Amino acid sequence: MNAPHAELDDPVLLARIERLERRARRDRVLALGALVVALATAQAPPPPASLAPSSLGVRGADGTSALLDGAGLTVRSAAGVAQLYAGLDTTGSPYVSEADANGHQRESLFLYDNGAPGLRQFDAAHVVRTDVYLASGADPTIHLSNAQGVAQASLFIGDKGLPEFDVRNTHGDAVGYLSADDQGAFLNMRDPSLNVRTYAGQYTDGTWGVDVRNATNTNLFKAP
Amino acid sequence: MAPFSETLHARVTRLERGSRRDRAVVLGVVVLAMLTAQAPSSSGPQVSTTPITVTNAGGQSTTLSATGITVSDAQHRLRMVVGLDDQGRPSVDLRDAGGTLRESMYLFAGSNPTLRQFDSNSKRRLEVRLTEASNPEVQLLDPNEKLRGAFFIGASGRPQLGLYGSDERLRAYLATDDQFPFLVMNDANGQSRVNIGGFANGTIGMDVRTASNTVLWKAP
Repeated sequence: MNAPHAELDDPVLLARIERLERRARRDRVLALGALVVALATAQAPPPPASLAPSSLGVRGADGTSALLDGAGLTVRSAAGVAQLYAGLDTTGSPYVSEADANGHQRESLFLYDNGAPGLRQFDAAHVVRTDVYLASGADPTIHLSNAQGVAQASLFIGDKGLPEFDVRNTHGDAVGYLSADDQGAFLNMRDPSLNVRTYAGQYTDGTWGVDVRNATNTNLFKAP
Repeated sequence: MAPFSETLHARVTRLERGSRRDRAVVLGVVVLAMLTAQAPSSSGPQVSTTPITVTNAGGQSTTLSATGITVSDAQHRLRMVVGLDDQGRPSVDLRDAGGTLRESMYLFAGSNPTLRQFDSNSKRRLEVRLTEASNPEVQLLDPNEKLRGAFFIGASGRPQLGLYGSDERLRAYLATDDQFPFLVMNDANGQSRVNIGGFANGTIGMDVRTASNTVLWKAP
């Protein structure tokens, strides 16, 4: 073992201590720098699941934006107009809606409160012009409507389970009607008072033919 | 001037103290960096590798995942899916409060647009689609998923309306070509019994036939 005074007088040891001091100063500067960088760039840790965000938004460079909230997704144009929504409606039913640049709804895909599916297309005045749905939750139905929202052509399976196609006047009355059952088919055409004036196809007695009637339902012509 | 031994002792003590402090600072920085680390920024969008769920006060929730969004009601029942389905097709699915799929809009076979509506028994009842030949077609089906009504442009390019029996056989048929429209009504055996409009020979008129295809009446 060396004597203490021998170490104190050792120039090699002194040089080592001086190097240690220089290194300590340099490391301190580096550590403080790292601390500053970490503080400047730190982000808050993610919240726990129980504190999930109530909404999440994304904005594009062109000004468009999307907002995700608990009920669904809303996409807005650069002008801030909501043009697409996919989520739950105010009754809690699923609902997809598309709007034009003015914010007018033009199309929707949805479920009614009873779960029946529907698709609607709207004109610029928000009148339903095309309506595709399951009536009473089950019967497939398509209506094409005029600008007043009156159905003027319909294709559907009715409450008797028969496929039917009709064309309607502006009051919504079926004046041309084509239908079929398992035995055959028939077509009738009605006047404004809804009297059958022309009939073709199978009659209720099982025979087939065509006829033309007057307004009091008297045959003017019948064949065969 | 302090004795040399005393100066050296002080310097070593300072070194030891400084070393301990610096070690603590470095450890603190490491812990801070690990707790708050974020991926280096890039020019692309910020990307999460895990689904993100947002919930409102009513308990409804929307989840954004890599395949789209799903929306659940307050009872945590899945009600809507918008995104890619399990076969990778873009799809919008709507489910009723019982969880039954009632409406689906998607690309069939990867490219043919299709809208389907289902009844509460999961039976397909209405379908609007483009066929593989890209012809528009609307189908109405009964509770047994039998075709009962169709409105379409057929392979021949003719617009057609067809009504069918519960056996899916055609009963009434309204169509047109570039010459004349025509209406055909068939019996249960598929025999045409009434024909109105343009005939195949280019004439126009109407006839009534027997079950054995004998013309009972014809005009003109």
